Amino acid sequence: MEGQTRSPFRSLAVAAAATTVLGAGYATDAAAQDKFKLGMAVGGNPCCEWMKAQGDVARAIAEQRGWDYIELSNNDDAATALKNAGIFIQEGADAVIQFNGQPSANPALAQRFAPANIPVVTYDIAQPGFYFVGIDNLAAGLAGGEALGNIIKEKWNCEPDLVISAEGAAAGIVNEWRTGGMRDGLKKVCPDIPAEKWVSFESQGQATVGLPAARDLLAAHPDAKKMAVVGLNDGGVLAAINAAEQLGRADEIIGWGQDGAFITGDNVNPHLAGSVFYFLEGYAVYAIRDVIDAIAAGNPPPMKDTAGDPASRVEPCPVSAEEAAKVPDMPERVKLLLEAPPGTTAYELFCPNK
Amino acid sequence: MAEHAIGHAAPAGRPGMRFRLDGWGTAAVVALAWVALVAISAINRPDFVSHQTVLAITFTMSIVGVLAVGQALVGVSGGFLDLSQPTSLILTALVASRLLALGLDLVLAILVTLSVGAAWGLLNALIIVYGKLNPVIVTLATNFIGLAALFLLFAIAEAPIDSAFRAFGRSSFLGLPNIWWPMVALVLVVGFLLPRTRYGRHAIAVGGNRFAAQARGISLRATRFAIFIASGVCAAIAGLLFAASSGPFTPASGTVYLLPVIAASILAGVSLGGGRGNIWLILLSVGFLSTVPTALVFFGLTSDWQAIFQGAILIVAVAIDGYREKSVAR
Amino acid sequence: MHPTASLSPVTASPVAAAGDAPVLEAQHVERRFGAVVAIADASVALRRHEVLGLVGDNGAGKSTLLKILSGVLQADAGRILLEGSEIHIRRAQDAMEAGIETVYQDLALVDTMSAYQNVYLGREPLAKSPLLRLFNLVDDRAMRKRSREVLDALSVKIPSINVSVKGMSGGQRQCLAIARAILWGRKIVILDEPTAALGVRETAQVLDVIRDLRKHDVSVIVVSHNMAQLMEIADRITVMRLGRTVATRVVKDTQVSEIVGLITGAIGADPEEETRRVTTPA
Repeated sequence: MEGQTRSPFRSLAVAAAATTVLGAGYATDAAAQDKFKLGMAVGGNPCCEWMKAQGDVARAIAEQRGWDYIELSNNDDAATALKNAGIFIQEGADAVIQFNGQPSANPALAQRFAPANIPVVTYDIAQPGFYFVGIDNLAAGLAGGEALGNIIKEKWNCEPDLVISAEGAAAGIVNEWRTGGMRDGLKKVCPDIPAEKWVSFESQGQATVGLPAARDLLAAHPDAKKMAVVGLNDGGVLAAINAAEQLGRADEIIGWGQDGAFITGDNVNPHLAGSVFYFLEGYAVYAIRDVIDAIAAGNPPPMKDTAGDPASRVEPCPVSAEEAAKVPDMPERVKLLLEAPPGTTAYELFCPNK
Repeated sequence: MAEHAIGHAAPAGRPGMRFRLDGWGTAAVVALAWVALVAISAINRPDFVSHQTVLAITFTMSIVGVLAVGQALVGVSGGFLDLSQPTSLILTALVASRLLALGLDLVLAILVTLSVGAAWGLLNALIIVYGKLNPVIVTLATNFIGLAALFLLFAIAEAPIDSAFRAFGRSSFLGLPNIWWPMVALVLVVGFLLPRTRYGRHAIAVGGNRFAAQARGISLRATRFAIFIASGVCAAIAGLLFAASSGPFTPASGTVYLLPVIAASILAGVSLGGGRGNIWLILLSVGFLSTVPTALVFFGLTSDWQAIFQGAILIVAVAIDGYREKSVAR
Repeated sequence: MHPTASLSPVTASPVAAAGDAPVLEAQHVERRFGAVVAIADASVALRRHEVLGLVGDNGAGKSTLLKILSGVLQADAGRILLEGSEIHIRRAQDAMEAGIETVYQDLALVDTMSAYQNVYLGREPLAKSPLLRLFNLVDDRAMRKRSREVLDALSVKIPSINVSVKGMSGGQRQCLAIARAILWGRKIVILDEPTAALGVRETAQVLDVIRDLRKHDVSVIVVSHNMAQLMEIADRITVMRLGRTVATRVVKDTQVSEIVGLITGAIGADPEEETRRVTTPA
């Protein structure tokens, strides 16, 4: 945990050292004050390398622009997020970007930032008064569901024995949008699947944690053979697929995930037909291009703070397992993204299904 | 063989007809509850009694059962609890997955994984023995530190999906999961050896009355070392079965096992106070505990209910243990 | 490490002839705890096959002396002799190896284990088959058989050697702990308040067992507050007062009133040479 908070302080120290080295104190102080200062609070959940990558991309773009940049980690903790808000205010940030995994803390954060007149961009989780930049989770759900629906229509003539939803209730509305969206997308292609074929289990968004519940669900539907799986994320969908493998019923199970966590690399499960990429690492391109640049130029854009009408919309990119194999991995994507002309999004660079 | 169950029955000389919940008494209660649960579920949904249900339950049993053996050894020998199992489970699963991904020979990978588990137990024991600290606090702390270290080490890991190791983990033998059999073998072997070997009897004595044991020349230190290393090795065996049978896991994936494992150990009659417990009964307690969530699904209850039931069962288990201890106090 | 006690009663006369070397002797033992002097100068001699009572008021130093003899504490000065030759007891294990068994009432048994398991605790014989020995398996059948024999020889009555001892009475537990000393081939048994907190019938049972010990080639030191009891079972009584051994009396030549006088100081300590004559026979 300490390692994550240390880096921002180190960058502060480096900045301070740099000003002293430059010598003529007054001039540099004035220059530092004139410089636009961007704050970034990364999610800090060690689960996901994209949270760290979000900071790396923001830092690189800020440096390209010649801005000062402060990065703090929310440590996946609401109290830390609040403390970080205080530090940004104290440091005189001109704008702040955050990914905050604890939506409950957002109103309190807004109360801190508003009196300081610091505009805030929030990723993926909306808060009134914060510029919303993020994935259209509902669109992502719908796109994934449709893609899975097309497979089911072709293979099973829209007559699956079971459609399994891998829920992640803790994600709240995001779960509704993604899992529910996938169901709706699937229904668009296959509208006549009877209600009793739709079943759910709580996967908690993790393959291993959701595994026992998935096994129990499958045991309770012993006759189902043709099974389609949708869910909050790839991990949850994998829980159902792994359960079917263990119960010897994996011959005809097809899953389509969200977030693309397990659709690339050497270990792609053959029953995971596809997923939806958000290219989470590249959000800063959208945030800076569509919001921060304008603020830095002195023309703050109109407030758009809802997922339905976002300040900048991140395009979801549904991919089949085959297509995903051709998408570069995350470190490579970060590298290519930073080499591309300013403002180019990861979606434009990497999505095979534009 | 009844005399091998430590503390199993009221002495013949005492006419007190109080029902005793230790040893076979607890076993009878758990067995009865299990039979009742299966019967009610079967009446509710006749298709509950199926091979699919058996598979679902036995898969759930496997890892919990292996961990419960380690937990029971710690409990019987007076170490109270090993709260570091979630970390040692994931640490060893990570080691196995990484080694296999590197293409290391399976046997070698297993040996290294078991050694890592033993080393983890050794670490716990070193702190407990030389720090003269309470094992519960020590393992709580090492679990906390270990989890944080794991987060620094990796985000998501998985054993190679097309390896023989993973194929073993998803397949069955004689209609029951491959990973179930090692668990049963471990329970039977440890359950046989614990009350019948000198080492085992010394461990039980240390748990029952460590002053008396020390007065007989039994080393508390040696016992602590042996037991915590054994618990680490059990966690490593569980880690291997976990890595073989599960999909991608995160550093926190082991946390969910702690509660059912402790409940299983207590329901098997292992006294939290130490000195008592029949490892064989773990088959019964783990079987029962693993049937509960499956049965709930057949009743159409959601996973929220499973958490409630699990918590309730733990409380009942601890209450039974407390009652046992009280009934002992003369 | 099989117990080596002989079960056949020793044919020697119960009280050894004067002039025999004591089986265990402490000479001029001292022990301090910081500034507190627990034992200033204690000398005690245990003769073969006798029951020696050790008495004294609270704080007289009997517990400390007992702990020094059993290896729990170490003396600051003085010597301990076993069969006439000096030994060094640095820990409980040393005392046990020297054949000295100390029975504490509360710390003796593991409640969750059976009688025979307790009797053999720490010294379980391994199975005879080499294969079973390889797995460290113990020989329960032999343990049960021998335990039964020893308990029968001492006329100790317990419900069953196979059930846990937690349900047994204090007297039964005390007898088990004493029987263990015999089974393990101890020559010297030290008993700390063996009948405290016991009922009348139980006390009688324990006293019978203590009296019988000399038949099994065992010499006994009993620490007790109960003077009447000591007069009943002991051959001699050594009195401690304020950290010193002040006198030793042969029971049949003394009375309770004299012992009590020695304990309280109403009767003065024996002259130095008298003590020496008793503790170091020519």
